[in-house]
Amino acid sequence: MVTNADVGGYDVVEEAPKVRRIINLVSGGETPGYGSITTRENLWFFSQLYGLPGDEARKKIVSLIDEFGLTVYVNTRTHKLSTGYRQRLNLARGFINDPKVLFLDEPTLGLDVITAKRIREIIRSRVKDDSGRCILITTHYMVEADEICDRIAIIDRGRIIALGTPAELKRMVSTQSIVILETPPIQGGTSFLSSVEGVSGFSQADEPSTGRIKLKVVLKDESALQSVLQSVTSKGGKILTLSKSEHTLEDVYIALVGKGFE
Amino acid sequence: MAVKPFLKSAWYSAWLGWKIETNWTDPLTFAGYYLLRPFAGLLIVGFIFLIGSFAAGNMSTQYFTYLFLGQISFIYVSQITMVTGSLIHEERSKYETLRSLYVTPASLRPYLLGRALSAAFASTVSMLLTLLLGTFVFSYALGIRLEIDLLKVNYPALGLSVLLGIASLISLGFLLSGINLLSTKLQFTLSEYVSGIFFLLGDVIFPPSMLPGPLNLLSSALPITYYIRAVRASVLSGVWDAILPNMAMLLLLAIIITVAGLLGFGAAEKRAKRLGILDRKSEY
Repeated sequence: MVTNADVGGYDVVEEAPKVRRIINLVSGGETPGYGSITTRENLWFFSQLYGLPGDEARKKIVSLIDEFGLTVYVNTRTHKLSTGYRQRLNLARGFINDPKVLFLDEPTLGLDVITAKRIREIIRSRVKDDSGRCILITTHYMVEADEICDRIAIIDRGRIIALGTPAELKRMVSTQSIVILETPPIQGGTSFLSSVEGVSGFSQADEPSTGRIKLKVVLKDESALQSVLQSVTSKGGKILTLSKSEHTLEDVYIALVGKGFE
Repeated sequence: MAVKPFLKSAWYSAWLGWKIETNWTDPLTFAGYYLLRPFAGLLIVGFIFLIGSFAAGNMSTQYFTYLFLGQISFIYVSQITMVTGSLIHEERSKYETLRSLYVTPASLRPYLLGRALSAAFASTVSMLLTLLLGTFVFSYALGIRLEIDLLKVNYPALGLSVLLGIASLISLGFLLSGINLLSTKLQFTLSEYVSGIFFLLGDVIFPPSMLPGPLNLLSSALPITYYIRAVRASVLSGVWDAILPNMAMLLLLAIIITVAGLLGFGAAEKRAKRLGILDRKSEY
């Protein structure tokens, strides 16, 4: 049983005030602070809560506004910002005290592809520039985790079930095969696949445009493919397309947890 | 937390509170809103008095002055309670910043203090505007004489009474915030309940001696009762002998409620953290 924990070398219970000075937190999908004050004022307010001296705070705000591409909106009340710019402001706020440890909770949730990519680049550059920093991200986007994380922990029902670099995690399933097949919807669902011999896990995606379902099945070895195809057809399914897939973190997740994201 | 950073955080939280209070509209509408709301309350009480006086065939200007001062003093109670009673809900659901505030070195206490101070400042603006307009409307337009002699007012005692009253209300705000940390069901009503009870029991529009025994007893345990009495005594008699007993009780209750507010909020914060509900949102 864990009896203590520390962040940046400080005990989280005994030295909480010291911990607070070196951490920050940003959640995705949240309102970026106070809508009736401007971008600059929001950052100023939080800089003062972190006790930054006035001159240092002003310089820091100018640099963050520039880095996060907020210059055009510096004097705009934040309720007028788009979701993407709100999240940029959120992230800028997260870096206002130069945290040694930054907690990011779903940082690209609800963002368009380009903004999400930009935000991932910023996060990555922040860690790259200063190896003394740690950014802890919780995300459901496996591609995002693969792109920006050095170490990944996969958590299922509150427990860490795998921990390692993306490459290490992918190696965990490298002996396994991944096939993607399309079929018309199967009456009674596809849960039968979990009991097919040789199947580590599977995920299902509906394809409304074609009326088909796409099944991604992780096989312990390729010999299990025959059993999968037989069981799908025996349950009324019809194999319309079949292809092999490269290993991704999502496959690791499916293989370890046994199913795709619910 | 050291005193200086605490005060700095409280100061900037007050700055933020003032921005939030004033930025939503233009200055004229803001002034109108801050005048109309309390002035409407004063008008209601004033007209009830007038109608009652006409029906009874007797107008007591002494009682009207009592009412007027009670209602004006109550502006602090209603506005500070309204802000502090809804802060936690706003931070959780409207601004979604409670987590971000909580992890700062300053955390929640200086923030709550600062926001309550800005509410007190806004209440002062409101009170002064209402006092001026109310005096004009009732004394000059409606011809009811207010029995206030500006030369007899004990201004230091008045200032001290108001400061102690504000301190009590801010401490009460910590208690309300503590309750809201643990509950998501009271955020819209808690301040209404509390200010409603204070309005009835706090010697605002009638003396608590008219209340049944237990309610009278309850009234004598409320700091608001002594705050309003101390304000009245400072304005009407100006004599320390009349002011001091009320001010002493106000000071004593202010200390008690400050200790209770800080301890209560601390306990609620600890419990909310343990239960994982610090930033729990309501479903409304």
